[in-house]
Amino acid sequence: MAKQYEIPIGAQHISLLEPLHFKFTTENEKIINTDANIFYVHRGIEQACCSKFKFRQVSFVVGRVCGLCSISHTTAYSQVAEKLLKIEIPKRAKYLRMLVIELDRIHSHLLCLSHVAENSGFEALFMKTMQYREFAMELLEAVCGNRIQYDFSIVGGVSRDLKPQTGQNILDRLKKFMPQLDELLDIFRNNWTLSLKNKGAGAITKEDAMRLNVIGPFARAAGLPVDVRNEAEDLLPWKEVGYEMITETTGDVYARNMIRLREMYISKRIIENIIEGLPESGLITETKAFPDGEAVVRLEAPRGELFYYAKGNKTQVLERLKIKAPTFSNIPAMVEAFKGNEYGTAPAIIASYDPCLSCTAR
Amino acid sequence: MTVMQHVWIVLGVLFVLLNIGAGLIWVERRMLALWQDRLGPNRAGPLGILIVLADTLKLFFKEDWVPPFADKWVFIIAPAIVVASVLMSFVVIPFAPGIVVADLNVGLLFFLAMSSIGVYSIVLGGWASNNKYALLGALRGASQMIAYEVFMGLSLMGVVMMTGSFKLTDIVEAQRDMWFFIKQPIGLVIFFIAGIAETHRLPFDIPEAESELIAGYHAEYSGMKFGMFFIGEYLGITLISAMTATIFFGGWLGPEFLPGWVWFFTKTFAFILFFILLRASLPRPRYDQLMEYGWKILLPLVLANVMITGAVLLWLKG
Repeated sequence: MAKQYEIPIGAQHISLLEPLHFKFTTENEKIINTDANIFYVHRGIEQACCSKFKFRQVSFVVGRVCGLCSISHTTAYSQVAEKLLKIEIPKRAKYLRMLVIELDRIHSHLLCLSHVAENSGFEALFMKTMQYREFAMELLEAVCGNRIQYDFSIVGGVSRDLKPQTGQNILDRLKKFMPQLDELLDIFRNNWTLSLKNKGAGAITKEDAMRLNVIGPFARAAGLPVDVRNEAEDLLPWKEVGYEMITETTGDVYARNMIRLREMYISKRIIENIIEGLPESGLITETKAFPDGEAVVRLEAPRGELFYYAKGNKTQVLERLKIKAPTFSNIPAMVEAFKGNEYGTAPAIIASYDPCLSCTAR
Repeated sequence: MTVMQHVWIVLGVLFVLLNIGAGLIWVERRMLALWQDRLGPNRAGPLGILIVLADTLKLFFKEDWVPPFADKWVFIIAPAIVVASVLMSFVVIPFAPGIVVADLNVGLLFFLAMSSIGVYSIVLGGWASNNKYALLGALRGASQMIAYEVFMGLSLMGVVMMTGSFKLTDIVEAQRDMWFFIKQPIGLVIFFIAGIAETHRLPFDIPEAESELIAGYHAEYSGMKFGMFFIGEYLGITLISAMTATIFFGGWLGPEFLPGWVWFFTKTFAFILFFILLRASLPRPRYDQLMEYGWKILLPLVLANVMITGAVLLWLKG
C-alpha cells in the first residue's frame, strides 16, 4: 500500500478567494479523503441584526454579509421583513429587484468562471473573463450607485428608480457583451487543454447530489432541476420575465462551467424583458407597522438557494434572524466530490464550487 | 588568443547574460500585459523599465531568512546550483565567429550534462525546505526534468548524426547551406518542448504550479536566494532559446549586412518571445498528463526520428 500523505489547502492559500480549509488525504497524489473547515470568518452579523440595529436598518447590514451576492441578501431580508409587516410591494420594485439580481448573477458567474480558469492554470482566460466582467460592475454602479454591496432593496421596495437612459445603456452594453459571451462559451466548451483539467474532474452523480442535498448551479450541473426561481412565484414573478431552467448531466467542473455560461444567456433575456416591460408604479410601500410573527423566504442567489428566517415581536428590533447560505448546504457534497481526483485538479474543483465563505460563516 | 582576451570574453558574456536575465523580467511582464490586454508595469521610468531596478533592489534588501526547520547548508547551496549550472552551459555557446568561451569538442554533451545538474537545485531546494508543498514540487520537478532530459538528448541526435560532431561551432558551420530546422523539424519541436519542461515554464511549470503548490520548490525562499532561482529561470529560457538558435537556426549565420552576433541575438530573442507567448496563451496540464504525454507520445516520436535520420544518412552514403 502506498504511503498516505496529508496536504492542506487553506485557510490561506493562493488559489482561494476566502478563508476555507480543506485537508486532503492523498495516496500517490490521488485524493482519498477530505476534511473541511469553513467557519473562519464569523462576524456575528445575525446577533447584531437582532440587537444593535432596527429592522429597517438590517437590510443595509445584511448587504455586508457578502460582497458578491449582497443584492440577494438585501432582497431576501426585505422580503422576509415585508412578510412580517404584511405588505405587498409595488410591481415596479419587484421588477427592479429582479433586474439587479440578474445583473449580479452575471458578474458573480463570470467571477467564478475566471477563477476556475485561473486555478486550472489558464492565466490568459482568467484575464479575459475578468475583463469581460467589468461591464456588469459598471452597469451595477449605474443602477445602484455601488460596484459591490449595493443597498438597492430596502424594506418596502427599492431605494432608486431606473432612469430610461440607464435602461437603454444596459440594453446596449448587453448587446455588446453577447459576442464576448459566445467567445467564452466557445473556449470553455471546446478548448482541449482546458478540458484536460475540467472534464470528469470533481464529478458527482445525480443520485449523490439528491442524497447530499445539493443546490444551485452545483445541483443543476448534476442534472437536478433545483432552482427557486422555478418555484416561488409569489414574491418575484420570474416566469413572467422569461426564466427557464437549465441543467447538464455530467456533474463535473465542465458541466458547472456550462451551467454558469448558459445561465448568463437566460439572465440577459430576463434583463431585456424587464427593461422593455417595466411597469409604471411607485417604488416603495410605506407602512408604520412593526414586524410581527415568523416568516421564511427562499431566493435564488447566484450560488443557489438563500434562505432567510425572521421572527418579530412588535418592536423595532427583530427577535431572531437566521441566514442559511447556499454554500452551507453544499459542503457535504463538496467533500464527497473530491474523492478519486488528482490533487492537481483540486484547486479547479474548489473554484468550480464557487464557495462563498463570508455568506456561510456570516 | 591571449589570456586577457579570454578573460574579456568571459566577463562580456557574464555581463550580457546577467543583464538579459534581469531585463527579461521587464520584457516578460510587458509582453504578457500586451498579449493579455492589460497595461503591465508602466510607472517607474520610460515604459516602466526601472521596475527591473526596483525589483532587484527589493530582492537585495529583503530579509535573508532561513527557516529554522530547514537543512541550512543544503538550503543555501540549492539556489546557487541553478544559476551556476545554467551559466556553465553558456560556456559552449558560440555567440559569433571566435566569440565563445570554450569551444569544447563535446559541447552538446556538456550542455546536456549541465542541464542535468540543474535538477539538483530543485530537488535539494525542495527537500531542504522541509515543507510539504516544496517537497511535492521538488518530486514533481525531478521526475519531469529527468524524463524530459531523455527526449532532449535524443532530439539532438539527428543533428549530431548529420554534422558528425558534438562541437557547436561545427554544427553552426554545417548549416551554411541549409538550416537544420528544415531537415530536422521533429527534432526542433521536441527539443523546444523538452526545453520548456527543462526550464519548467508555463505550460509545464508543474513544479511551481501556482494554484496548487503555491510556489512549489521555492515556497520557503526569500530575498536574493529566491532571486537566484528567479534569475536561473530566466537564464534557462535564454539558454534554451540560444541553443535552439544555434542548433536549428544557424546560430550567427545570416545575410552579410549585419554582423554575426546581431543575428544570433535576434534569433535568440525571437525564441524568448515565443516562450513568453506560450506562457500568455496556454493552460498548464495536470502532472500525470504531462508525464503520459512525454513517455507515450514524445519518446516513440523522437526514437523514430533518430532511426529515420540514421537510415536516410546511410542510404545517401550508398
